[in-house]
Amino acid sequence: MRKSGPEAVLYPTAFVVLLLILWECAIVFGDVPSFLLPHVHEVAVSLWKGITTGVLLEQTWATVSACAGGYLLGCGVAILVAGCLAESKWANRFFLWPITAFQSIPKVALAPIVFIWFGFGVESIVTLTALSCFFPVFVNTLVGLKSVEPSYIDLYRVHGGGRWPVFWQIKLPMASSHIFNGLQIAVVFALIATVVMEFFSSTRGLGYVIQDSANTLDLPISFASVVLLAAIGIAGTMSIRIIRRRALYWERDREASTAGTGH
Amino acid sequence: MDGVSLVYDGNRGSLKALDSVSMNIQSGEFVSVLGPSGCGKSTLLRLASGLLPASAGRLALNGQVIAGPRRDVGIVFQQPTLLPWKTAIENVLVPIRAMSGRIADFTDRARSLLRLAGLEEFENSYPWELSGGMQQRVGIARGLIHQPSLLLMDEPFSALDAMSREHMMSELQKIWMSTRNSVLFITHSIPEAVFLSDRIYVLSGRPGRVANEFKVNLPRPRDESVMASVEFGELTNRLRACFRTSGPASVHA
Repeated sequence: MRKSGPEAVLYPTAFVVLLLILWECAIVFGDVPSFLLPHVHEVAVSLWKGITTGVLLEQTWATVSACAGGYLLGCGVAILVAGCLAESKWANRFFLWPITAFQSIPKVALAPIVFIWFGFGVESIVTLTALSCFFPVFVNTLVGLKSVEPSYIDLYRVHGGGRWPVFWQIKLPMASSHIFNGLQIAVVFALIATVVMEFFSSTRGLGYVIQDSANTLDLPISFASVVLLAAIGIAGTMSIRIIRRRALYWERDREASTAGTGH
Repeated sequence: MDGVSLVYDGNRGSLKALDSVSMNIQSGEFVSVLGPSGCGKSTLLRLASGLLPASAGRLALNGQVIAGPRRDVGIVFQQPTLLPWKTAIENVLVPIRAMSGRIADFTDRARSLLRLAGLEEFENSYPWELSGGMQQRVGIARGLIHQPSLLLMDEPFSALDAMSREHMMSELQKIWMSTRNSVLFITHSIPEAVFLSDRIYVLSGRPGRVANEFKVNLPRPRDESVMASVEFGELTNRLRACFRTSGPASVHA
């Protein structure tokens, strides 16, 4: 993963090419009717047209903006709540159990209720996306904040460092690796929630496009939308990874130095 | 420190970690506390730094009773506990930051402490670029940055391998001889205590009590040849014997 040589590109590309060949073979030799499985070139054409005419691009933007909005909201609230629970015994006693119980609810099950509350617009999509992002980030942040080596905290406390400096200058940076683990998982959760909500809302986004085109058996469009969703997912995960490597530079360099001695 | 006791109140009843421990450290003196593991040595250090309140007895530093965290003590932990996102010199300055002091007023001192620790070329290195011994020397420099009246050291070399441990002993002596801080050095290594100390308290286990006190009169600076001397051998033997006999039942002060 960390190597950016030709090998890093070669193998995944080979895999995709192989997959496309198998796909075509299934249609040609396996006698799969084209309304069930469109040709690769049909999907490519739909994708190209969708992008050049801007129709699919517009829907992609609708999905990305709703997903990103929900993601930022959910992750932000999760870090805030986890910070409060880690710092306050009282909040911990009061909220930890209900929050953990709420975690066991499949968030998608709340979709119809959320629609009733917030209507069939983007607000509902953002809300459910935020709910889906909350838990992975919340749990990881809480674990990160609670697993800080006590001697680091002693080091600050003995010199009169108060609660806020200890939190900002020791605990939060120490927990950042855990927090980023949560943020990375949340990207995938967010996209699932957004697409599911778009299935229902049936007015906007790639989820709506997939639903609509499948209803009319226009599968090339459906597949083109799936490809775009995959691209969004990859772009999102990559962005978080890049931000992590920039922000947590000590983590990257430590990995590099241990990898260096390993070989 | 006078008649200090500490009782931990846990879920399964209380545990007495220290029982009327009395000791004193003169200004500029290097004092070691030697004891088996689990005798409350580290507890002693948390008490002296004010992080933990004593259940009974009284601790004082420069005539002032220790009631809460003290800014005029420095601490060196078992692990280097350096912040990985800060360079060596920034790590040395962490206590100043914690005290909300002016960093700029202390950078020269930080630099000279790093030089004293033989790390002048590494002031801008990150902890993961340094060896274990170098990291711990950064930790020692950090403990001294604010010119504490007392430096507390909690088995600072226990995480190092035997070779670098001996090297670090001479390094620490060198640093101490030029700063002349009072030091309370906690260890379970007899040679370490004899090599470094002016005085040694021996603690017996569970609950910790002062079993004996020894004075070390070896001339300074001490080097490896001291370890081969008759006096050194004699003292380590006496300490070892003291360990053997000092159960809770046979405390002889």
